[in-house]
Amino acid sequence: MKIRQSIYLLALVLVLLPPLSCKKFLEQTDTSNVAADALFKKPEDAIQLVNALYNTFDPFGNYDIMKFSFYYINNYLTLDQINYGGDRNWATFQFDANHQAFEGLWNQFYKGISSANAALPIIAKMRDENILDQSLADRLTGETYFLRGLFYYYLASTFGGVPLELQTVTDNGLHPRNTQDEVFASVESDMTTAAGLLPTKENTEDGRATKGAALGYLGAAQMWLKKYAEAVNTFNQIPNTYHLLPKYIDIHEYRNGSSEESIFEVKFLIPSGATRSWGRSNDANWLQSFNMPEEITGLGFESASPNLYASFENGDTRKLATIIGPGDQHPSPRIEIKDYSRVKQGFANGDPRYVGTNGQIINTAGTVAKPWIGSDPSELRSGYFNVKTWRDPLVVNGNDSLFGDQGVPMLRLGEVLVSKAEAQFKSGDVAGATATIQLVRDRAWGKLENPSVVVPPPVETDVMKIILDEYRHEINGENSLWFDLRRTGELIQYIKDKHGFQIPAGRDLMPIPASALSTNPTLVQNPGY
Amino acid sequence: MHLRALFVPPKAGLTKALLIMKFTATILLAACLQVSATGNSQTISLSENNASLEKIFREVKRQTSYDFWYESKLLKQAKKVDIHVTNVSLEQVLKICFENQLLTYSIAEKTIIVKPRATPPEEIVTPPSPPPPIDISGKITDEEGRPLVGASVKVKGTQTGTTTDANGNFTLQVPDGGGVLVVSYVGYQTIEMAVSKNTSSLTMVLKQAESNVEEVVVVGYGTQKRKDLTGSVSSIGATMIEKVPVATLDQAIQGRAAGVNVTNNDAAPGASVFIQIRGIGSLGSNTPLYVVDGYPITGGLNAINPSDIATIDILKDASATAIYGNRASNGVVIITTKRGKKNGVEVALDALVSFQSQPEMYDVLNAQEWTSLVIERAPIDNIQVLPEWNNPSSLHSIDWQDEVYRTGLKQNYNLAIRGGSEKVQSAFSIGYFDQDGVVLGSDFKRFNLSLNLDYNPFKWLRSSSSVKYARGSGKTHIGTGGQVGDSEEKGILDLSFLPPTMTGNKLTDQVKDGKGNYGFYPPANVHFFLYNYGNPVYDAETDDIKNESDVFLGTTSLEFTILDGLKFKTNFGISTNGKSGYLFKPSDTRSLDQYGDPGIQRAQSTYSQYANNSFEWLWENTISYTKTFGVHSIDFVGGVSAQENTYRQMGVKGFGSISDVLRDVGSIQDVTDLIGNQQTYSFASQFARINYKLMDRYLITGTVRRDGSSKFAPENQYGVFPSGSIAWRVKEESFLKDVQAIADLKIRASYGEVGNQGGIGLFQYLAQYSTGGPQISFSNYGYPFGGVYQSGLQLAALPNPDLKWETSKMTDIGFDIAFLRGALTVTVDYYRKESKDFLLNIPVPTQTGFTTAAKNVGSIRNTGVEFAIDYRKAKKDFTYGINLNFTTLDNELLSLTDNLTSLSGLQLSSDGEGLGFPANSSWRQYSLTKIGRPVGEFYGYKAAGIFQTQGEIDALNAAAEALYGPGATYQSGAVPGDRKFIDINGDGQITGDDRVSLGRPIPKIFGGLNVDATYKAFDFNIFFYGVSGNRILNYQRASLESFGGLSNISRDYYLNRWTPNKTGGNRYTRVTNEDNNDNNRPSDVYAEDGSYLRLRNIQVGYTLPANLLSRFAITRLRIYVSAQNLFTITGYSGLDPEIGLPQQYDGATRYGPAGFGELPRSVGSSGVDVGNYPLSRFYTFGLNVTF
Repeated sequence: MKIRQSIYLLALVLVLLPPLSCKKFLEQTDTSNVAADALFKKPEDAIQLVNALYNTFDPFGNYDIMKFSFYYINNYLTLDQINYGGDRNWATFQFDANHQAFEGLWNQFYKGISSANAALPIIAKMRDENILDQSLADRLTGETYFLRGLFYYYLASTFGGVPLELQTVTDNGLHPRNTQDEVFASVESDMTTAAGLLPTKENTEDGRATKGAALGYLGAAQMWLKKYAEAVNTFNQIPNTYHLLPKYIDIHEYRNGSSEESIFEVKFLIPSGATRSWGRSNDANWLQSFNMPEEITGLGFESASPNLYASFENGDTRKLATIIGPGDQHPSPRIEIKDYSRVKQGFANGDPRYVGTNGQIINTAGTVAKPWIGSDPSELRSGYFNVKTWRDPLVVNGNDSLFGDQGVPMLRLGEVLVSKAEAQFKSGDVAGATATIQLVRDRAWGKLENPSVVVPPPVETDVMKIILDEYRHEINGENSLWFDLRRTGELIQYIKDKHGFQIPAGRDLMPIPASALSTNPTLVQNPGY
Repeated sequence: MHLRALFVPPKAGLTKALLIMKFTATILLAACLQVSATGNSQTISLSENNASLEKIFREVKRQTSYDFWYESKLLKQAKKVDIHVTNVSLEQVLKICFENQLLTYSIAEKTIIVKPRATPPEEIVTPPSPPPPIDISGKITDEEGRPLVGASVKVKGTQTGTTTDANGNFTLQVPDGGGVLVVSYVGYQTIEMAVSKNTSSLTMVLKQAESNVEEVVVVGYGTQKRKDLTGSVSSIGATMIEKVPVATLDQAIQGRAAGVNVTNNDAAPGASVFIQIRGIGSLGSNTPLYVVDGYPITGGLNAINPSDIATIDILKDASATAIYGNRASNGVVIITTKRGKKNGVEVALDALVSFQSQPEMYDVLNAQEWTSLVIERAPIDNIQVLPEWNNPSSLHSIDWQDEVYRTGLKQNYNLAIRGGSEKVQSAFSIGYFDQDGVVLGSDFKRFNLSLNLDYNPFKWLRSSSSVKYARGSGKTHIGTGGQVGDSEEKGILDLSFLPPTMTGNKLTDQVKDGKGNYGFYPPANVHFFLYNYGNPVYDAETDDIKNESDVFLGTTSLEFTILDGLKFKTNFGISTNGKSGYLFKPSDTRSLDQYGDPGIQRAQSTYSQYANNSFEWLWENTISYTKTFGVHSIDFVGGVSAQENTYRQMGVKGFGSISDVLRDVGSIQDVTDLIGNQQTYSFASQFARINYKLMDRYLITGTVRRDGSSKFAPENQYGVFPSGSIAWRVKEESFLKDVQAIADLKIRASYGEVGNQGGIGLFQYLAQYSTGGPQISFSNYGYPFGGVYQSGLQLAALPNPDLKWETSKMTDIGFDIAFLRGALTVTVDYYRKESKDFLLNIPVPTQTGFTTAAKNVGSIRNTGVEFAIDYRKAKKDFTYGINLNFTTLDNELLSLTDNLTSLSGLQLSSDGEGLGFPANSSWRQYSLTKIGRPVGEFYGYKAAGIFQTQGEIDALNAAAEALYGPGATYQSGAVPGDRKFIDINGDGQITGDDRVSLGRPIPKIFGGLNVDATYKAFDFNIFFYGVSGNRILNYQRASLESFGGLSNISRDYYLNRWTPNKTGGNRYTRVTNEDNNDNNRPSDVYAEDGSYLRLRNIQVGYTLPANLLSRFAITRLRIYVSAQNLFTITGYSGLDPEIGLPQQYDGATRYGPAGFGELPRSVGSSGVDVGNYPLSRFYTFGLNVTF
């Protein structure tokens, strides 16, 4: 019977055992994530926290903000580029508030803002705990302020006023919109702080925020606030290490680092051997194959406006560095149209689209007789192509090499000079404005390369009209034309003048995304929608 | 007994006792095995002087566990005995005992039957002896004539008794005056029958107990007699499960239990079904908790072979489920597998072969009709016409459905050996299931092993073990839904609209020619529209796919009877679940070679591999106490439980193998996805239940579970889930006791709260940072600086420390009534379930930095009535039973969150991406869950026929221009022949605001009808299942009425389409490749009545006569034929109205396990027909043999 008693005793113990031993039992683990309290003990943690803020620009999920939000808005709405994919209705401003261009920008940039707001106190605390030394803490703090300011700069440029969140949102986030001026005032403040903390470009890694970039966007924000004199002053403080590249074509050449002219660029990187097809990492963009001719890639969703082609003055080297049409060779020394496999194959098959005027394999973007207008007969393309995004020789077709990693310039000296000219003009310095414009035009005609070039006077005589034309020709096919035109206050009239198109009332502001309205009923939609 | 030294005597004190505690359960088990070895020996040691036989018998029984049966007065006459023996056999002891006695004995199985000596010794003077007993012999069988081996036959009021032999026969001596025989057998109703001298050979048929109030119901952590139940529990017995050949046990539940709605929404081999118990209890997870032989499983339902199941008990109300606490709100399904019987051996062999007919198909255009339409539309829609289309007769016509659909074959074999002795019972089974689906490239194989072992070494100790293993292997290449994302993979939906001719391959225009060439569509540079269509047969035949699963579930328990009625049980279980597989798609350069354009084809091979596994353990200790004091009875169970799960996943995906024969992850040139991590979560709980019964008629049950889950922040981990219920067995009252018309009446009521903690992932309460994946991943948070990638850290999700479990408050009022001496039973329950605080990732203002966050939101009320009626009638050769059950369901969303109450506030619709809806399509939203309406209601436009004239459109546009200025339109893009939609809000324009509810996807009523009958050696089963009151949104039909992208259309549409020359129709629009009006948007045109009644099963069986079989040692041989899904009565125009929640997939991954492509089923996406894997007819031939 002793066995029985022993077993009962053990049984009793077993009943009690789980509760006693389970004191710390209800703990879970996940090896792919790390809890906040285990982090931020070493400088690398803070650096990585700030690194992730830059990732805001990368296409993620369904949002490809470089293409949809920046490229679409600044190019399709200015009517110099035309979509031939599923978004043809942008040419008539018939987009709606559900379009991912708006949702992507809104969601991605508020994600970035929230991460920036969260990073500031963490960096400050790590500085207080001497985990970060002062210079690293300053740099990281400056980058964070710069990026938060940058996100608000583009949100307000796109939507007008947006809710201003400058601290981690701990309530339900149902905050109404601030005014556009309030947002740009916040940008001004952030950029001022950033400019005081950030190193110059020589003293930091390529791709990171710099003092020059902070000043560039500070001036731009001041122009939105109509503080033109301050803006001129700010632009003048930009370090003199930035130079206009002598050859305009070089600005958008495929390269690994930023050019001397580049002030802020979004960076991409496809490691050697990694895929350029679907399944790529998010450090790649598909601006190039999206815009290239279908005749080369089998894809292609846009073409450029012949109107833009015709608008360049004679001798302006920016023309063929921006847009090519039937019979034009590609301007980049790295790109030979005849080398593309589909061109070679088509020529071998006797496809007339790939036969040049001399009967040899074609080396131009179609010919005048047979322009490259795509295979969808229901809506033929213009035959003109944006070549600023078409520079990477590795993007060759629409299947396994359709993504590229060319950096996308967001702000460069050429644009800053035009802006500065506008600010000078609006603050009363017409002579200064004219001189600044002349710098831009000199480079455009190749005078920096060859001092003997004679640069003709602008077609327009009205200084503001000259400035508007320079915006159009200097930054066409890039990512700020629409924003800068709206900032001038001349946008609607200008589009009407140049394209004969009346922008529907209120549609100079983009719609607050439908998803944002539905999750935050305190947001009021822009009147045009 | 050397192990005794390990057990310290109690006086050694607590310290040592605690030391012992540290010995693991292994040692305990080892000790038990040793103890068992001793107890198992059949030798006896006794030392008694002048002892009564009764005393000796008691001691013998204790040492050997042999039972003694005797009439007590017989033993009173017996002489006392002196006995001193050590380790002698039973026979020797009995010899000593019966020496010089007027008694003798016989041994039947483990029972020693004491009877008077037939011939008394001569030297004893014969007293006036009682008349000699009479011999009664007979046979005990079950309802189907199978002999019951080891059934107990006793003379009522005596100890006289015997058990039946291997053929079910018995012989028993009954006093001359006759008596009443009591025949009992576990799981069967006990019967009594008067016998007398005149009774000749008897055949007694025992009915299975399942439809009787004596039925034992498995409830959480115990069993109860159905008559003592206060909660709502539906039970399904093995005989019911056997009636319909099913592949998985969840299919066996359909139509069998009131309140349980089972939808076979995906008939792909090995696919799971969708089960809802009492409505939609959550906007998040709606999966019930499955408990298999006492183990609450977290997956691996496939491990259970349906033919091993003894009973399925479905706990529905809080009274029944509360003991499972925070996993109980969607109901609990308790599965009990068959165990060995105490006496004898049964060998059962079941085999079946099912032929599945080729599925029904949509009638679509052939190549000639289709090209005529293309040519007709070409000038209007600017369609590029391929030269060969101008010669339609030369085109090879392809019916893709016919190419892909085929007849299916299903085979299932099970062998079981079950049996045992008084001390040891075991049940062994082995099963093999093999199905080739009706869609090319789909199959499923499963191999099951199971062993249940029960061992009672002593009266006070019982051990039970269950071990189950299953290996599954299968694939579904072309599954439910349409093309997923950007992938080339085709779904069932696509088959009906792929263009019916292919001329891309210069070598063949066939789907596949005799030389192994597969056809394809022309690439992009040849035809703008066709290039994104693929050849599904090519994919199904050339892709190399394997998906395998290994599931192990083992539980072992020890139960100690400490005192009479007081038991302690410790239960330990382990569950492992492994899923692994790969997908290799070889490179394909044919199109590139021929046209210099790869089109949709892949120039590079792709390869993905994954391996996921989980290990889980469970340890539960319970104490139970049962006691009756006069008119009071109590039944208590209480205990503690701990469960921990560790899940590990690894996966890799990439492009470009050096060679198509090289299937090596290491040789992938472009790795695009790489995952590998591990997660652990746990549960810890305490629970108790008490049943109190007064005078066998007033019953009260109270249950509580305190349940902890690691998914929540430490201060929110524990929830308490109480329930209480009462029942009144009115029949026991004096005023009803003698009312013959009512055989039984019980009224029940219960209320309780239960929880649900599914629906969200781990760590939603905590701020966690992640790098988002390596540089190659699409989701990385890093960024290149200076041309070098640097990783980034970002908050993975918006933490919500306030997260807690969902709560359901359940009320149940019901009664069970029986008429006609119990032949007719009716059970009716009213239920009301109010659930709240759903764990959902819901949209939040993006200003928080996130678009969604895990929150507790909303509340839903489900109410309804369950009705089950059962009638059984037995005549001489003919018995039959009818079971009808149905359930009504009313479902309403009561609230969302504080700030999201407006119609557009929280759109719980699925975005449809995972169902294969095209990007930017209006089908991305087709349902809306809003307050005051049923969950997941369809949402879309109301159609008002077809625009017949331009004038009609102009008038509407003019009105719109008057309101909104020049250029405004009533319905943008509309031309004559397009569908007109109704301006619901009267603003003069058709916008998203004109969408309205298009009906509910959830049936208002559902139920099943079962008819079982036997006539002589034949048995029959007919089983209907039906639903009513729901609607189906027919996306499949919308796609058959769309010519966009030159996709094929239905012939009906083709023949009745609107044309300028054939106006007037109001159903079909014009055919166009450029549908600027979005004619096929979600609208009431595609919302159809989803009611149906389906003959799920019809079966006829024949049992061969026993005398024929006995020479082959076969006790029973039954053959049967059956047909499933023979017909369906429905007004639904699609192929199959049985549509629940389709499985959704993300991105390009249709294959692979959960977490690597599969999305959770969302209640906002139910009832939409996206082209389900077809459920066609099965014709089954089967065989049941028992040895």
